[in-house]
Order: sequence, then structure tokens, then C-alpha cells
Amino acid sequence: MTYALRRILMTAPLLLAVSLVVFLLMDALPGDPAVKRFGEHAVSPEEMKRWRDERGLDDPVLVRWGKYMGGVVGSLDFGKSYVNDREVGGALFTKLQVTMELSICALLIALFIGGSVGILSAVFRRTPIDYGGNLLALGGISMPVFWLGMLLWILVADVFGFAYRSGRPEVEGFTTDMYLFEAMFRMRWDVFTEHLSRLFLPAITLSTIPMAVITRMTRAAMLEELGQDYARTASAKGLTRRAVVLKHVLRNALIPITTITGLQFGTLLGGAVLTETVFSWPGLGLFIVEEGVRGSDTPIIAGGILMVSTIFVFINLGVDLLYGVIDPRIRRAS
Amino acid sequence: MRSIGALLISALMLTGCGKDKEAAVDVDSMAGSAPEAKDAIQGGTFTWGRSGDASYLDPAVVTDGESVMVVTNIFDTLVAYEPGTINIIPWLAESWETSADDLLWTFKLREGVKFHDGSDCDADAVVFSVMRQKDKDHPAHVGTFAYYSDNFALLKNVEAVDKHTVRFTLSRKYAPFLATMSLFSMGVVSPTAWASEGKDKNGKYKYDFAHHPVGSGPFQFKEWKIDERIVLVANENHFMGRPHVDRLVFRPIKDARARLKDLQADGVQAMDNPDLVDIAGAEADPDLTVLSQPGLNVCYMAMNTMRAPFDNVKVRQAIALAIHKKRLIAAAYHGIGEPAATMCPKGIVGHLDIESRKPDIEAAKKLLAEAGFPDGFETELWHGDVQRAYMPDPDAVAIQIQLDLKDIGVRATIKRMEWSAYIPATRRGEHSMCLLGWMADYGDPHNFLYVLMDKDNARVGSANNVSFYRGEAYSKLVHAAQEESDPTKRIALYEDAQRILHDESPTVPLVQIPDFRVVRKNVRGLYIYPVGGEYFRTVSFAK
Repeated sequence: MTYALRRILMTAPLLLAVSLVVFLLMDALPGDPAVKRFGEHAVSPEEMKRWRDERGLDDPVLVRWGKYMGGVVGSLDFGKSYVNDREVGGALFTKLQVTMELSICALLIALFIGGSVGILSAVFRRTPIDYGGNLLALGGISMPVFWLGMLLWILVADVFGFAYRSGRPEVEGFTTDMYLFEAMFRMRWDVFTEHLSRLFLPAITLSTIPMAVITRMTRAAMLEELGQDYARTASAKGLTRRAVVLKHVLRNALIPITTITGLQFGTLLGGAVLTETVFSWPGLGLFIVEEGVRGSDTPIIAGGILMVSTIFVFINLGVDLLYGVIDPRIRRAS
Repeated sequence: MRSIGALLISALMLTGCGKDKEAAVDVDSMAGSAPEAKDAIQGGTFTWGRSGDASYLDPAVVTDGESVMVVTNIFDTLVAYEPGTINIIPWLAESWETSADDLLWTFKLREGVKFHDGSDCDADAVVFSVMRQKDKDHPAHVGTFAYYSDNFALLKNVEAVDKHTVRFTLSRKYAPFLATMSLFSMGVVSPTAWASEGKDKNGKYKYDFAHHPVGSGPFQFKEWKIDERIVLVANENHFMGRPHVDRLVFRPIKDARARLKDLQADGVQAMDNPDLVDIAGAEADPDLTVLSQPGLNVCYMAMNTMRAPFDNVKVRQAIALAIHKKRLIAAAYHGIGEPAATMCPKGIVGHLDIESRKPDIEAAKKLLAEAGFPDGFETELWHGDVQRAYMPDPDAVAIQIQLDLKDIGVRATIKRMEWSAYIPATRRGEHSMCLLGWMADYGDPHNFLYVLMDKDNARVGSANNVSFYRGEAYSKLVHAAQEESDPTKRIALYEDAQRILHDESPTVPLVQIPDFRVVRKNVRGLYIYPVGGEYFRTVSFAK
């Protein structure tokens, strides 16, 4: 437990550094929120000055960062958007849930397909199954997401004739923004199916890259373990191939697979931008890019990145703790 | 595997097939509106797909089109547009009159109009809505009022004469005044809503109006989920009668192709800004209708007359002669659009109907030689990196112009700039040539010929006139037109001004782009409004 606590405390300076980098970068890059805000309109210099002063835009970058972090640490206040004065914190929290749900679904798909294909590839090494698995992994990692997303959409709509609609359905009376999970909990199967009918395309699109990575990692880990003495011994003892692979080898191969899955989850949270754009999925990535980067809106970018980093750190912590569950030797050592 | 491969190939072919039909687009034959329905049904949800989310819903504060099209449905203005035109009709104001010197405008308001919160929409509310923009100490002076600074600096006073009469006092004669009263920024807001949460320590109202707007318009605000949807519901008590649909939903779908696919799946019932390349495919779809109307916009190239060699009129004329607009439209606009001959677009009363200069390489070369550049010269052509309605592919436009100029020996280097750096740099006059455009805020030549070309707007640093053209004769005409109340004389003044502009060529007007909307076949009563946003009070569904 102290281990977990120590890990959490160690992340604090990391997060501070991340937010500082965001502020420094935004300061160094061209782009002025005032231009985004007023566009082609020429606002008088006094009005402009007042607008900038209200937001402290002309303060030195370290002062701005200090004020911002003061708010975040002191009262979980993520500040207001420069461009439209909205409270950033609440919006980020909603968006985070939306992206979490999408990422979890994508990761489940990736784990299921990537894991199975990886195991099969290792077991049937150098057979058409293995080659097919390789091809899948290569395709998954090299197809650009925006292209694949659009292609899948056209495939589903124009070839299979399913009238796919993008975006989330309108839902009344839900408390969270994870409609799929909440609908399951509330047993609102109408919402569940409607939401799923919109979620499946972005989830599949988003799953391709982690799927490819997991496939390759599973194959490599399984091959390594299959070549170990214990695997040969188990086979020599007369265990079925199936039992050797699933009971003994897979369990040992799980450690690297778990690590890579945890890392992929973090990547998904930050990397959902393209998928969210193609399918108008109102998540964190779309929010950071559309509202934050385009508007040079530092509070949104800094808040978004802080949130993603925090989650990432916690997921890695979770992965570390999972090692102990998977491998009793690690548990005993600590 | 093989069958999936075949499917992928057929899917690819489907995406490609729009291209072959491109030549078939006939903009002139397209309707500007979906017909009003005799068989309309009441009720239903009308969802509008557009490319981005709104930023504010306070009519006096908004500047972006995505916010404007929402507030135009929540708020009423004193006067409005007749559907699909730029003709002004009475709206909150039943009638109006002006004093003999045209400085006093008195509006008689409709009686019994209520805001969505039940309070009265009367003369006091109108005064409140204007004074909060004018008076810095007003408790509802929250935000920055760009449209007010742009258009209403000449407003001296606004007062309530009685409960249903409002009087505006102007500091000088201003002919476009009535047209500007239809601007969304003059939408009347509910003072009761503003005051409902008290004041903060600076004496400003605390109520977050920009995200919880209360007006008197045909639709009432219900819900806003950022980047996802804005939901409005029908105002049962609107003075023009309840709108036909129950709910009006605005959905941001960034990608134009995705927007079209959503429309085909009935996820949205209408959309704006389709990709020009998709128009033909949409027209061929039996479930969809493409609406089109000449857009009140102009895409132009400005030459910086503060810099040599563009201070020489012969150089500017030579460049205007070198640009082949028809070829430009074919290359950079998928063949959709009309060559623009003047800075005031067709469709605005006062537009001068002259022919665009015919490209003439020999004449252009001769002019260049007379100006002292027989072998041409080197220069820069700047453009921004953001697509605009008048310039869907800025790179292609720049490249085509670069090619045209090469024919007369002018070697232009293209410089593509990040939008937020580009606009201020052109305002400061750091460019030689630059590509820009303008979309009408209201239907008056003033909005183009004064705002974009007058010397008043050529101040280095905050210029809208980025050619920095300061012609005296031109300026006199445009100023006279501003104060002229006789429509025929005004038109004549503006026409003369455009003739001067044509000769002096500080800018080359390039293209005027039609406005497009794609709607589902059962949508009725949808109009393309040339200016001012979208108004959905007339929309309904066919049986």
C-alpha cells in the first residue's frame, strides 16, 4: 500500500512539469486567442486591452502558469476558456467520461481480437494463420485512422445498407456520460442498442492500432514462453497442447501483454482525436483540438493534458499492481 | 478474405464516383428554398448539421457564424428579412418613421410580446438590449461587443418614449441604419433574466446569459452539450404563431463528408457547407435535395498599394488582366462559382453590372512595360491556411494565380500562413499581395465598398482595407452614399464608386460562390437567407 502511495506522490512533480511545458509551448507558438475570438472584426485597441487584461493574457508566462496551477491545486478550478468564458473543469470531466467509454470498448475489442490472433499466430507459427495474423497487425498499424473510419462508414452504410448515424443519441435522465454502461446498469436496453449502434464504428476504428500492437506482443511473448523448458516438460508429461498453451504458457506471457495493454489505454485516451473527429464523437480529443488548439485556448489544452496524464499515471499504477495478481512470485517479493 | 477485398474495392469505387458526375452540376437550375408545405405536419425534430459548435449564445457578443445561426432563432429583432431575401419587413416593430433630417428613428412596437421567461418584451427591453452594448457601466455590459463597435458608433441615444415606442438618435445621417437593425446583434434580450441572479462586486449581473439565453424568438433555449448538440424547443406563444417543428437541434459534424453521410442516414435533416465535390452526388441521391442561391460574398486578391510596384496603377491593371477567373473556378472551385467583376457582389442592390476584365496577356505585358517592368518582377502572394466558404481550397487558388502571373513575367512566391498570424499581418500591411474574402453582414453595398475599400478602413494595424487604397474621389462617393436617403441616387453613387475601383484595381475581385444547403426530400419551408444567419421558424416536414 505504501508502494502505491509513494507512486502517487511521485507523480505530482511530473504533472507540474507537464502543465508547465504546455504553458511554455503555448507561449512560444504563434496564435493569439484574441484573433480567434474576434476574427475579421477590428475591435478598438482599448476594448482589446480590456479583454486581454481580464484574462491576464499579457502577464509573463510563469505568472499565468502559477495562477492556473494555484486554482487547480487549491480548488480543482481549471479556469475559464479564453475564447468563450466557459468553465473548463466541468466540460473536461464530461468529455473524459465520453472518451473513457469509447476507449474501454476499443480496448476490449483490441484485447479480444489481438489476444486471440496473437495466441493463434504463435501456436501455428509459420502457417497461413500466422501470416494472416501478421497481415492484420500490419494493416491495423499502418492504416490512417481518418481514412479507415470513413471507409468503414461507407462500407456499413452503402454496402451493407445500414443507416449509420454518427454522434451520441439524445438521452434524458442519465447521471453519467457513459451511456453504454449506465444503460446496462439501468437495464434501459433501448438506449443501450441505440448507443451501441453508434459506438461500434468509432470503437472498431479506434481499436485497430492497439489491436495490432497487442497481436504482435502476444505472439512474441507466447513464442518465447513456448520455447521454455517448462512448456516442453508439460508436453512431455502428456498434457494436451491446449492445456499447455492456455494454462501454463499464456499465464506467463500475460505480464508483457498487460504492460502493453496499459500503455495502449493511455495512448487511446490521448489518441482518440482523429476517430472522434470522423464520427463527431464529443470526447476529450475532439474538445482539446477543436476548442483548445484552434482557439489557442491554453486553459483547455492544459486542463485536458493534465487530466489525460493523471489517468495515464493511474493506469500504469494499476498495471503494476496487477502484476502481483498475475504472478504470485512478484507478490511475494514485494 | 476475398469477399472482403471485393467489398473494399467496391466501397472505394463508390467514394470515387462523385468525380465523374462533377460536370453535371447546374447551379442555376437549383431552387433557393424547399417549398412551403400545404401538407405540412406539425411537430417533429429538425436537426441541422453544421461544421462546428457555437461559442456564445448572447446575440450582442457573438461573431462566428455557428453561434449566429442559433441566436437568430432564439431572439427577435425590430425588423427582419422576408424569407430568402434581403428585403426588410416589420418584426418586433410594427412600423417606423424618421425625422426630416433622418437623425431620429422612431419604432412602434408590437403589443403583448412576451419573453420565454414570461416577462414583457417592450420598449424598456429594447433600450436595455442596446444600452448594455453602448454603456460600459451598464450592469449587463458583460463581454465584448464587436458588432456594436463595427456598426453602431454613430448611435447617440436610445430611449423609450412610451411602453411600445422606442426612439433612436443618430449623430449623423446613415442610410443603411434600417438594414443594420435586422442584425442579430440587435436581438432583444430579457432584462428580467439578466437581473435574476443579482450583481457581483463589480456591479455586473451574475447571470450566465451567454450560455442560458432568454429571448422572445420562435424557439426557446433548452440544452447545450458542448461539441455535441444545442437543443431548442418551439415557443408556443410567438407572435407569428408557433413554429411547425417541436424541437430544433444543432449538431456539429466537423467533416463535410461525414455530415452528408449522416444526412443520408436521416441522422440530420439538413446541412450547410457541403464539399463542392460532393454536390453532384447529393443531387443524384433520391432522398436529398440540393438548394442553392448566389451567395453574398466575394473572394478577392488585394495588392498592397503602399508598396512598390503596386503603388503604380498600370501594374495593378496588368495583374488584373493576367488573371483568368474562369480557369481559376475550374481549377480551384470544382467549376462552381461565378467570376466576380466588382467588390460588391451580385444580389445586393447597388451592385454594378459590368463585365469582368477579359484575360489579355499582350495588353498586360504592354502595361507592365509602360510601368517600367518589361521583364516583370518578383513578388509574394500570401494566403491563410483555413478554408473559408469563399475559398474552400486556398492552396489551389494561390497556385492558379501564380501560374497566371507567370505568363506576364510576374514571378510570385506563395506564402501560406497560419490564420491567426495571417490576419494581423495583413492588417499591418506586411504583404505584397494577399488572398481574402468577405461575406455580407447585411444586404447593403456599404458593407463591402466602405468596409473593405474606403480610406477610413485603411489604418495600418487595424485595416479591413488591406490594399490600403486611399482614393479621394472614391471615398467621397462612398461617404455621400452613406448619407443619401434617395435610393436611386444612392445606387448611382455606388455604381460610380465601383467604376473608379474597376479602373484603379487595388484589388482583383475573383469569385462569387453560391450558398448551398442539402436537405432531405421531406423538408419544407427552408430558405437560404443571403445574410444574417439561419431562420427556421418556417421549417416543417411533409407528410
